[in-house]
Amino acid sequence: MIRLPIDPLLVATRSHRRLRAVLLLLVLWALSGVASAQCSGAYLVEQGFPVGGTEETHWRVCWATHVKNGLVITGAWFRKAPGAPFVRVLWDGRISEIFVPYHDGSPRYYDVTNFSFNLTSVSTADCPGPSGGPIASNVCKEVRDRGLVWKDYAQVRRGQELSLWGALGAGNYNYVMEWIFRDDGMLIGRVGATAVNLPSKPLMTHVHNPMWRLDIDLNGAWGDSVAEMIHTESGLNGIDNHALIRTERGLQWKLPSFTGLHVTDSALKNGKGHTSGYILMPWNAHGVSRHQEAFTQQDMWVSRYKWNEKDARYLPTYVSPAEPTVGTDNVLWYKGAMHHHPRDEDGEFVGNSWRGEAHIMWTGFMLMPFNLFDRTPLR
Amino acid sequence: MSDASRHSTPRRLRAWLAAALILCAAAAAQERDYLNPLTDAERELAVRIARDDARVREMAGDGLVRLVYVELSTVKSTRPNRRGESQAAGRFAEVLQYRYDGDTGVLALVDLGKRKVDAVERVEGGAVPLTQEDLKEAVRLALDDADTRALLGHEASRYVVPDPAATESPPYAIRALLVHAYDERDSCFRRRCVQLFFQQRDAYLIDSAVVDLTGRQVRILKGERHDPPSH
Repeated sequence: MIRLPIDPLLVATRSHRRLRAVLLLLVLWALSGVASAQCSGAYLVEQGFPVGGTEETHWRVCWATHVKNGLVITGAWFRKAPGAPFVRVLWDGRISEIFVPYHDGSPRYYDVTNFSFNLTSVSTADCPGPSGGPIASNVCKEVRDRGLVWKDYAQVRRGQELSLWGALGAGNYNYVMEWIFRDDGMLIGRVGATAVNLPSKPLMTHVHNPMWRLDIDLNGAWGDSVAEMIHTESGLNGIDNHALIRTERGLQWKLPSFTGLHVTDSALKNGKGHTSGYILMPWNAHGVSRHQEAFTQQDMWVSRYKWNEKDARYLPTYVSPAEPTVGTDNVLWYKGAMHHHPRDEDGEFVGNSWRGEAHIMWTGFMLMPFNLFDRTPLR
Repeated sequence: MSDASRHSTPRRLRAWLAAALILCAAAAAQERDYLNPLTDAERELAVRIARDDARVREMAGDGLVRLVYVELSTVKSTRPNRRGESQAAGRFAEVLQYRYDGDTGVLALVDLGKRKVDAVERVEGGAVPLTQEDLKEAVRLALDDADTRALLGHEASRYVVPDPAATESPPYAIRALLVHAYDERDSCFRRRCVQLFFQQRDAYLIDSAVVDLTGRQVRILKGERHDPPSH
């Protein structure tokens, strides 16, 4: 049986003290591994902000490429200050589906789950340096200025962001799958549709519906809850309600309600004792789609985490019967929509061919920190 | 303190620290890199375990079965790690196979650590991705078809499926999309059909070939050509 000495310092010689120090360092190293990212090499991206200055905030991101889903975020952590702990934001983030119905009823493509599409190759022409470049043959990293964070007369602060992206080569189309991690803790996911209109129907209007599956684990998977944020007007007054989502269901995004999904963890609080969270809201949404398929009838969904529930088209069955979603491990789903009405700028008929490139259209979501910081960050 | 205990104490200390180190290193190794993609050896192991599993074999049947993909699955543990964070339940792989008769997929969740299949599920055929083998087969059928060859003319033999890793597209490329038929009268209704588009450098032929992989039939789909509405 191994027993600890009562006071090892009294009996340890100088060499023993050295040995002990080395071993303790090794133990700490091993423990730090547990506390750090669970990926390595090219699959780990560490990004401190501001670039070139004293670090204020930091993102740690693990990524992978998957058959079907393309560029997948397999973990994302944010640190709000150099001395603060990392807060896990995403356990897993992926584009579950890109559903593309054409206006005349057919075809209706499932551009993610129906194909083993690969990400296209990328080069420095896609993501030039010096602060970016390909981090794999098919994934780009960019670190860039993101414009104003705030301005107060003569005082001003510009922000920066880290972008990881790849482009799914989906037949005639390319879908740019981009994940943006901002210096203020904001996370943006967006998809851009580009390349060539459907050659057999190049002038047929259609809608690209990317659907994201966002497994948000704030402070661990347990104890998470989601509330629907609803704004209403009554006379001269505006009223904001947080309606706790008690069971799995889909929700519609209502423009006048500023609909958002507020995710919180019961144990995660900032320095003021306020509950920290993230708010999911649309980014660059110029409309909502409602197709015949049931999974397109809602814009956001809340479901319980299950390893095998990853396919957005089955959302109506995932949430039926509806399980409780308060204080548990939830997954959020968000549907964007790009209504593509072909125009002469897309291309033209040349003989028996179609020639042209549809310029990129974007849709996406934002995950905005709420009471994560104690006060205004990036001052 | 005796001389014996003076000598044995540092040894004990060393042993204790070494044991702690081993435990910590083991814990770290368990979590470190568990999000990295599967290695080739892990992929091969996952497929072998899945194909040896009785439940998978029963669902896959005796007919033509094709491996669709093997992917890392980060299944969450029901217990947090020592820091209270979510952690992976282990190193898992999802192995998806497609069964042609019956148009269904068989999804196996393989626990690589325990070397066993943890769960097996049936997947609707429409949710099983097109494989590279499907695509090659569709291209072969199309290029053997007289109507397709007539469409492509004397350049038919130059068309290839582009290598996804290539940095440049070939001058004559074939792109494919899986067809979903909603109408019973459609020849692709409840069949595995692929639509092939033919790209000549920077232009696509507006006519395409629809290949029924289930029935091994090919037909030409005339492209719609009309002027855009002027608003």
